[in-house]
Amino acid sequence: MRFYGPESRKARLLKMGGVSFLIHGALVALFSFAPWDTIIEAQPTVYTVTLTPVSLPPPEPVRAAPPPEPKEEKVKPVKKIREPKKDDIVEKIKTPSKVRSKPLPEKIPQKKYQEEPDEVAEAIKRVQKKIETRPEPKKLEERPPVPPPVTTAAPVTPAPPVPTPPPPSPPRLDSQWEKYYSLVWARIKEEWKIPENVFKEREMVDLETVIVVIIGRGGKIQKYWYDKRSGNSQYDEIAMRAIKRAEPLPDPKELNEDTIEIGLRFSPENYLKLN
Amino acid sequence: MTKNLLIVTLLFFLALAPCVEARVILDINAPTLIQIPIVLPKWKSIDKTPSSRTAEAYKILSNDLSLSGFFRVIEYQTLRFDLQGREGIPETRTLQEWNSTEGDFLLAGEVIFAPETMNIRLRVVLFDLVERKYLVERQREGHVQNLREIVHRLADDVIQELTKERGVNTTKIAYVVESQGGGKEIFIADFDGTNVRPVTQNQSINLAPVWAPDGRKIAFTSYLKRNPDVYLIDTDGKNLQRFSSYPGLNASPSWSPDGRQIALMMGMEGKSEIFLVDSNGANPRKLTRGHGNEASPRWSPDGNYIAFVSDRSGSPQVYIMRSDGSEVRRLTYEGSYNTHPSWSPKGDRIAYCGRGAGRFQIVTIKPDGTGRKVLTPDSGDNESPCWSPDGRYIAFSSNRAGGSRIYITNANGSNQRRLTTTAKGGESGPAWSKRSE
Repeated sequence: MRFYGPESRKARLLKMGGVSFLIHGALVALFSFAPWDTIIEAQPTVYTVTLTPVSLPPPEPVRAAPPPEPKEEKVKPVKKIREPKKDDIVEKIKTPSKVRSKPLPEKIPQKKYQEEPDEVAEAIKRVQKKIETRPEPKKLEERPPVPPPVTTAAPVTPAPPVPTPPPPSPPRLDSQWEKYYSLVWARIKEEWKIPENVFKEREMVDLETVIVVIIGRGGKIQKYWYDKRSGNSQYDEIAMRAIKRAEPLPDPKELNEDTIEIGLRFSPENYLKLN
Repeated sequence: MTKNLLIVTLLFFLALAPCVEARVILDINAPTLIQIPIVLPKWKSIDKTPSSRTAEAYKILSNDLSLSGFFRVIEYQTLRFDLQGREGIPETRTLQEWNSTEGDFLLAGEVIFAPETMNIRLRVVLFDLVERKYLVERQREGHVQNLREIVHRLADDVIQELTKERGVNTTKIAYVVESQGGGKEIFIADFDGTNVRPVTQNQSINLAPVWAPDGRKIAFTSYLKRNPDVYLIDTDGKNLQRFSSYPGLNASPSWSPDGRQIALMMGMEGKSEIFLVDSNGANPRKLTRGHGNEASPRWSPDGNYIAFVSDRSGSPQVYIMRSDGSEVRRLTYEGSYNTHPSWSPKGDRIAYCGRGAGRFQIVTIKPDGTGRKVLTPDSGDNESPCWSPDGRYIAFSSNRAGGSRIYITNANGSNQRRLTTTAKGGESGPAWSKRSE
């Protein structure tokens, strides 16, 4: 059966083509403005964090708009973003300070790993130095509940021959935010301790737990949940204890926020044996 | 209609755009390996319980937790002055008072002793100081004569609660002690090195004890009747019986996991070979057909394989074969002298004694020959490894501090300590019992 003559069919095709073009245009525009998948460097380069669209609270005005994504980047539905793949992680390790240029096969919260504990120690030292040499923003100094996060970062001490730090990538996040993340990282890292001899050597491979916390007033943890469990409940609990021990965390008030949501990915790699 | 569709689509995406929010993920890796700090406040003596009994129980438990290697025990004597006097079990709401101790957990306890019945009851309560909450309570009781055993069980309860696997405080270690007259006798000690008592007292040479599957008997090689034969004896030294006395050497028995067969080395054909016998010692079948001497058979925990030592390649090396004698393959290649294999209870590693740089070291290796790891430091000779029933520890003998003594190490090589503090030397050949149920 035919509903359209040859002319009307052609006209319809043109219309459809136009609509399709506009929709694609809209998509490109949308993802140019969304903070999709951009890698930011915290100050200093202690770690790399990736912004990943996951939840839907209102946008924070403080945050700088990230640069547009490369065109070929494909958007994945938010839901798929949960499970990071091992391969991706490995890739990250190899290219520590590059922005991911490939589309994510699965929605991974992107981040970069610091390969060596030495590097971590070094990075913390640099944070320390920075904080010593640079006057802290007043607000932060005044906050009594926030313990001096960096000075306590000492357990990572065995500071061996210093590898040359990676070239700092251009800061893309408001420095206040970067600093906040650095402090949170240092606080929790300090408490990231695993009881010796509890996990067998082979169990230590591949354990990874992601816990999301909402940090509220006074650095109290308002809410937390497992975004990814390691499969070993004891390991999950130990990761959670590290967060609890680190409480209170830096107060979100420093950033004029009531609450801040952060994901914490705990892995046992490069464990340090101190005793 | 097309226009409408277009507008709706655009509006939809534009509305969505500001809602796309990001979550920062921080990577927390490179954890520090620690011993769990656990606070032990002073225990309370209820009613007329003599404080010496309470103190004794406290000391045994504190020692058990320390020896396990999992904990850094914070005893009450080392606490701030006002906390030293706090006895017994605290209220959950007062837990924050213990913050200054820097403990992760708090184990409080109390003891009730009834002189009429000689019954002693211990109650301990475990608190989580990080989350400030009550975790679990355990109570055990029995005749005061068995105080050590009661406390060991309590310590195992605590270890199970905090590590998800039961401890080995109720296990025992049998070993050989050289007597002054030149003989060698079998002794047994508790895991904490106390309660040392002799099993054999026959003034002969008794060697290489192993625990029979029921845990009530010990098998060993003895020259009691001049020929090296395998004997069985109860752990209290009674009921000595000759188990395997074929012509030539009979030594190094190893029970199959199901207890039905025993692998042992026998020299009835001149050179020593690995044989299987039935659980009553009858019906010997030869397993090995190599050119060399074969020794020290040890079953894998699944019963499918047997590790043993052979010098068929010219030097003693560890080999693995199927339990029917097939598929023989060499496990160790590094060093010219590797002996005394011992299969971990989980089957993932084999410990053995290997010579390197002129010393005997305790080494572990995966059954596929990879992951070789030397556990002992470069001092003295370290020999005869055997695993604890949970696979977390290895006992061995070492002369690092003079005379040969039994040592215990964590399976990763950390936390090495002497089994007994009193022995003067002459100890060798440890064998670890199973847990008592």
